[in-house]
Formats: sequence, C-alpha cells, structure tokens
Amino acid sequence: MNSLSDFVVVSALLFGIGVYGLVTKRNAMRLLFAVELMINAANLNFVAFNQYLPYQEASNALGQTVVLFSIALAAAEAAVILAIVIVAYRLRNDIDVSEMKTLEG
Amino acid sequence: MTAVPVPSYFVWMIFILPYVGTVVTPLTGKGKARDALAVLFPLLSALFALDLLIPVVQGNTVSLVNSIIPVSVPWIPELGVSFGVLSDPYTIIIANLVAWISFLVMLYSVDYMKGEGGLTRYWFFMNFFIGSMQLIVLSNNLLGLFIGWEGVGLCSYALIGYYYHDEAENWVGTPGSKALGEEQAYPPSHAGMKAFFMTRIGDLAMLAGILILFVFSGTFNYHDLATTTGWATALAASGLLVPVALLIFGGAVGKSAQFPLQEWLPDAMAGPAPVSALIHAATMVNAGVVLVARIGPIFYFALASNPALIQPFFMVVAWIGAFTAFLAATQAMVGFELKKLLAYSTVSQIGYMMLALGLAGLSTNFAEGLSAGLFQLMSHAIFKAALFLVAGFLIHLTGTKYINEMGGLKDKLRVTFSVFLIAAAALSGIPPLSGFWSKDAILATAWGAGQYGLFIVGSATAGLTAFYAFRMFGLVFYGIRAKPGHEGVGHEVKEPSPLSWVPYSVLAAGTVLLGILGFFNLGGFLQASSITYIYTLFSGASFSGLSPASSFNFASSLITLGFVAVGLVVSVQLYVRRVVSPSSIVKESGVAHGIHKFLVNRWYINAVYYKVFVNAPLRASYWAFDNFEIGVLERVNDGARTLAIWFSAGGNWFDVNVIDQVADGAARTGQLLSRVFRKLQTGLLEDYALVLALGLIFLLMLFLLLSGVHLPI
Repeated sequence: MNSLSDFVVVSALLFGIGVYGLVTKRNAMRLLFAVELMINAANLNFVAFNQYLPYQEASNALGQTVVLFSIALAAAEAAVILAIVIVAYRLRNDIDVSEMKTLEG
Repeated sequence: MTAVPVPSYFVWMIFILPYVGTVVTPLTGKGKARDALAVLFPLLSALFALDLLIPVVQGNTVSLVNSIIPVSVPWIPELGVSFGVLSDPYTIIIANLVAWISFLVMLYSVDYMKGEGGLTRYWFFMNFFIGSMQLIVLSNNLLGLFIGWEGVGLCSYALIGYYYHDEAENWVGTPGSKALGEEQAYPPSHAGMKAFFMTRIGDLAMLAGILILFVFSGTFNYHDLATTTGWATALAASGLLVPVALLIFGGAVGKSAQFPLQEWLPDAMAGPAPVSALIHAATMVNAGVVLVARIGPIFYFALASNPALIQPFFMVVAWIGAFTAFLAATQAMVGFELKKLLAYSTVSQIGYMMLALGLAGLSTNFAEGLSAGLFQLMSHAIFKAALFLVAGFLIHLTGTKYINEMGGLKDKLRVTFSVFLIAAAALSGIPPLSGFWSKDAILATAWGAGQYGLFIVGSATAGLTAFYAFRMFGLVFYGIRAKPGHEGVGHEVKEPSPLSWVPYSVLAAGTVLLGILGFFNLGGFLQASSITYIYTLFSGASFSGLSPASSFNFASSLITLGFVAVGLVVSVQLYVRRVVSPSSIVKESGVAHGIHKFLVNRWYINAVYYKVFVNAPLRASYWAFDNFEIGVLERVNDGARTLAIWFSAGGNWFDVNVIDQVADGAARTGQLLSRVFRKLQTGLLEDYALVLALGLIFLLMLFLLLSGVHLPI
C-alpha cells in the first residue's frame, strides 16, 4: 500500500473516467464534471510525485503549490464554463452539446 | 544722426504677421471674429512698422539688435545664401506706407465686403498679399524678393478673379465693345488670368536676370552685390551688363504695369474695389518701383569708374516711364468706367516713378531721382487708395460703374465729395497738395539732368492728368443724375457707415499732411533718407555728388503748372460748369471722333496683343486641331485601336481557354477535397473528445515504444 504506483493507478483511473465522460455524455454539465475529474487526476499526480521526491526537495512542497494554483484556475474555469452554459441555455433552452453544431462542415 | 537700437524681430514681424493672419483667419469660422482677426494682423504689422518709423522721422537711423529672430538667418547654406531684412530709412518708409494703407483698406473691406460670398478666401488672399508685399520690401536679397513677388502675383490672380462666377455686373468693360474685331470686355476670371500671364512674362525675364547675375556674382544679397564689384566688370566685359539690368527691370515692367506690359492693370478692375485699392496703392504695382530702387543704385555705383556703361539702362527706364505716363494719361481722358479710369491713372503715375528712378541714373545726384521716385510713390499711394475706396463706395451706392450715369452727388455726400476733391487735386498736382511736390521733384530732376525731352513729356502729361482727374470729379459730382433710380434696393444717396468713410478720410488727411510737410522740406528729408539708404547698402563707401540738394526749380515748376492750369480749366469748363457738351464735339468733328476712338480703344495695343498673342495661337491651335489632330492623329489612333482590338481578341482567347481553365481547375480540386474533409467537422463535441483521447493514447504508446520503458504493472 501507498507505493507511488498506487497513486498513479488511481490517478489514471480518474483520468480514464473523465475521458469516458467527455466522450459519451451530451449534457454540458456532465462534461464539466468530466473535465474536473481529469484536472483532479493531474493534481493527484503532482501531490503524489512530490511526496516521493528525496527529502530535501520534497520539503519544498513545489507540487502542492502548483496544485493550489491549479485548483484556483479550475474554479475560475468552472465559473466561465458555467456562465457559457447558462448563456447557451438562455439562447437555446437546452444544454445538449450534440445539438450545438451550427459550425459543422 | 544717431543709431537707435531696435530688436531685429520687429522687422520680421512686419511681414510675418500678415502671413500668420493668412493662416489663422480661415480657422476662425465665419463670424465677426474672422473679420476682426483679418484686420487685426495687418494692424499689428503696421504698429511694428511704426516703431521703426519713429526714429527715422526724428532723423536717426535704425540699427537692428539681434533678438529672437536675428537680422540674417542661413537659408541655403549650399550656395551660401542667407535671408535677412533691411532697416534703412528708405525701406522703412515704404514698409510703413504699405502697412498703413493696407490696414486702412482692410478696415474698409469689413463693411464694403459684408455679405459677399467666399469672404474667408478674400481675407486669406488679402493678408497673403500684404505679407508678400512686405517680404518684397524688407527682404535683403533678390531671392526673397522673388518669392514675395510670386506671392503677390498669385494673390493678384485670385483677388482680381474674386467674382469668379463671372456675373455680368462684375465684368470690366462694356460687354459687346470691340476693337479691331477683338472683344474689349472681360469677365473677372479672365481678367485674373490676364493679370497673371502678363506679369508672368516680366517675372520670367526677371528670374533669368537674377540668375545670370548670380552666376557672375555668386550672391543674391543687395549688400554683397553693392560691396563687390568684380561681377559688374565681368558683366560689362561680356556685354551683358545692360541686358541683365533690363531683364531684371522686365519684372518691374510687368508688376508695375509699364509699357509694353501695361494692359493687364485696367482690366484688373474686375476685382472688388478694396482689392483695386490694395493693388494700386499699397502692394502690387509698387513692387516694381521697389525692385528698381534696389537694383538701380547697385548697377549705377558698381561701375562708379565708368557710369556711362550703365547709362542706356537708365535711359530705357526713364523713357519707358515717361512714355507709359503719357500713354495711360491719354487713355484716362476718355471712357466712363470709374475704376478703369483710375487704373489708367495708376499706370500713368507709376510711369512717373519709373521716370524718376531712370533719371536718378542720368543725373549727377543719384539720390535726387531716387527720392523723387519715393516721394511720388508715397503721395500716389495715399491719394490713389483714397480714390479707389471712394470709387468702391460710389459704385455700391449708385449701382453703376459708369461715371456718366452718376452725376449730381455733390450736395448729398459732403465728406465723400471733399475726399474726392482733395485726392483728385493731389493727382492733378495742384499745390500745395502732395502730388504737386512729388511731381515737381521728378520734373525738376529731369530739368536738372538736362533731359528736356523727358521733362516735356512728363510736364505735358501733368496737364492731361489734371484734365482727366477733374473730368471724373465733374462727371461724378456735378450735373444731374443721368440715370437716377439705379440704386440698389434700400439704398438712398447718403454717406456710408464710418467704417467706410473714416479710412478714406484718413487717407485724404494724409494727402493734405504730406502737402503741408512739402513746405517744410519733406523732399530734402526723403533725399537724406535715400542717401542713408545708398550708404547703408554700400557700407561706408563714399560717392561724389550724393548730397541733399534742393530739387525745387522755378522754371520747371512754372511750365508744369502752366500745363496743369490749362488741363484744369478745360476740364472744369467742360465737365463741372458744362459750358459745351464734349460728346457733341466728338460727334461733330471727324478728327476729334478719330482721336476719341483711338483712345477709347487703348491705342489698339490691347486689341493687337489679343490678335497676336491670344487669338493667333488660338487660331493656330484650332487649325492644328482640324488638320493634324483629326487628319493624322485620329487615323493613327484608329489604326492603333483596331490593332489593339485584334490583340485583345487573341488575349481573350488565351485568357478563356488557358488561364481560366487553370484557375477553374485549381478551384475545382479544392472543392473536391473540401467535400471529403468537411465531413470531419461533425460539430459533435464527443467526437472531438474521442479523437483527442485516442490521440493522447496513441502518443503515449508511441512514447513508450520509442523510449523502451516497460510498464511496471
């Protein structure tokens, strides 16, 4: 337990679930969740790898710091996406992304 | 005599301020502010000029102290040319004359031009006119003078053609009148062009003269020309001395409307009256006099050892002046257009100035003729400006430009009547007004120089002058209105607003003042100023014969006054008291009729010019059009056209079958490809996400494969 590969496997699973969601779901909110899962998978990697650095460098907590920024950015991004979704809903009364294809070739 | 220090920028301001007005006035919209500004700048310029005049009047000289703008600034360093200003008494007197008369004319314009269209254009060119004239007067080199010269030419063109819509009432001459089959009436735009082209002939000669002079002397500066004499010797050795002087004089002949280029000035009357006043009194025509006053002394003293070499030049100047004076005076004796008569009179009076400047070089005392010319310029500028401003008012008031349709205005217009009387008397040379003194100085110089031929022409012309001056006066103010009811709507016969009568009254007062000063040796003062001018030019040289001499000569005055009296009496009898009707004399006597017709048609000079220089080339060009253009060029054109059509047909085939096919093919290929690839853009987000994920996995696999890492699980 608690070897680096455990964390990586969990992270990979999270990412896979995110990708699965992104590919199969049509509801914009679900897509948002999927993207959030993928971001958190990456965050988990950062924290885990930092933890397994040699002591000197681990104490810098560089990975954790990056993750804090990443979380803040994810929050901002979520806000933007939610705003877009709300606007889309107001315009179309629907948030099914498969219907939003007026730019198709 | 002491040198009074004056900051040098004062002189610069005299010509810079009107130029500033030129630029600023159009920016102030279309209201009272614009008119006020347009008048303000000439006033400021005149005040700067006055500052310089005060020491001169006190008998001192002005010495410029470099301040803000130095006396002389580098201009074209490659040629060693610098631009500077003059401050000798002669220059300052002329600059003041120009500045103050211009200001009065501008003031008069405010009321006179009220309601005319394009007033911004009017103010623009008037200010530009004044600035350019001051540049001519104040520039210390021929190149600066030339620039001002061209500026004046441009403004004269624009202002004479001010009423460019060419309405019938603005024409000069009586439409339909012909001489030798040539039309003798011109619309304003035509008159403007005529002025421009005729003066241009002189300008070209002048430019050529200046450039030849530069080749020989390497300088444009008057002072440098005066103090180095090598060029004069070289010119004399190559026989070009007199020709070059005459070429430069050609510019003066054009601008000052001397024979043979005098014909533009009478037709320049198509412009508004203040423009005429400015052209005749303050600016344009005096430019030629200034030019001769500049180059005259230089050429005369450059060969002080042998002045006989340059005598022919002065002889030509004097005779052109005298002949022009006589020619124009005879033309002024007939005809009825008020402003045109005044224009003839200007040509004649400027002729006197040229006569004086020519005489300067023919007598032993150069300053005598030079100062007589200046005196005549002063007195003429003042009374002629007054006459033109009055004429403008009379034409507005009566609604006619013909003096035989005016008449009987004496009782209702006391101020205008007095001004006209004073100015006409000064023009006639009746003592003690300014015109008497100035003309007397010229004729005494001619007598003193032993030029009796010139004297007699000048003296007789004085008689003619008295005749035509009082003819105008009598026809305008005496008798009864020939065509009453000509007044414009809302006009009754009464004095104009103060903005109109004050300027010309001031000018009349100036005429009287100069006349009174004549008793107190104004002539002597001007001579002293001219001598200072010459010595300033030559910086410290000493010439024999230059001393203020009394130019009064009893015999010449008496003869001239005799002529004047005869002219005056005849004129008063005919036109003021109207003892005999002049028109009946002309009708009854064949000889009188012939002379009258000859004079009315301007000695046929104008008609001949039109025949030879205007209509002959026109006819030649029509002939060339008919024969060459249609006959030859047209056929060549047609051939070229057919050929071009053939070629273009071939080109068209190539275009359609080759180039179009290539272009279409490229387009078709693109279309085909796009039909395939556009399918990729489904617009479905999950498709994109799937491809993204697959791509990611593919890259990951590739990376692992290439790096040879084995997964730990």
